[in-house]
Amino acid sequence: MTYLITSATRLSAANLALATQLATKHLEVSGKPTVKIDPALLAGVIIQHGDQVLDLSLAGKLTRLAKSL
Amino acid sequence: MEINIWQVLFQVINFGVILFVLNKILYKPVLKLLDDRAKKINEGQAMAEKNLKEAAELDKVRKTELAKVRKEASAIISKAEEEAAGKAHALLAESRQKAKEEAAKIVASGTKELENSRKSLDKEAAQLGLAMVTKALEKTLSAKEVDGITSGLLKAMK
Repeated sequence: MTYLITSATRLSAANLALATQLATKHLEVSGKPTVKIDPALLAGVIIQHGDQVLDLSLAGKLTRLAKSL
Repeated sequence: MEINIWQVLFQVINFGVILFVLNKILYKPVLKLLDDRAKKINEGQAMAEKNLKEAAELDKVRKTELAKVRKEASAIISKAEEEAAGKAHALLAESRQKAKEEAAKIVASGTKELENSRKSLDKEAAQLGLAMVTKALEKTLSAKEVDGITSGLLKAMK
């Protein structure tokens, strides 16, 4: 089943492999992901599968930090 | 000069008759009149004394009643003053309590407003800080640095 990985810049092979492993581990998906670029993320990735979202972006971390203040 | 015994006797009888007549006609009514007058005077005096005595008793009763009424009036006034003072004290206490409650409400409301304002300001400050950090990072991060950070984030989750 296809899933989406959004990153701030084009992912290196090592980071793409890591992101794929995390998708398998946490979202229980496998196969080749669709990769999308969004500079607003600043750094990191967001992995989406259906309504499940794994936000590992720097922008997400900063937003959560701002909300917790 | 010779004393005529018959003449003397006649004079004595004549005097006795006159005395008898005068006694019957004049002395007794006059004496009776005088007695009646004295009796009326005595009765009048007795009545006057009695009236004076009654007046004195009435005055005494009046004074006693007046003193009693004054005492009762004084007691009523004292009681009314005590009640008024009690009511005034209660009203004052109630007013103070209400004022305290109002003040507490105002303080609570102010504190809540202040807290809300602080939270709002904190939120705005955090959002502003986030925007500033985001802008700064967008401009300063190189592709290599982004890749390194991404790697760190992914490894941290692993």
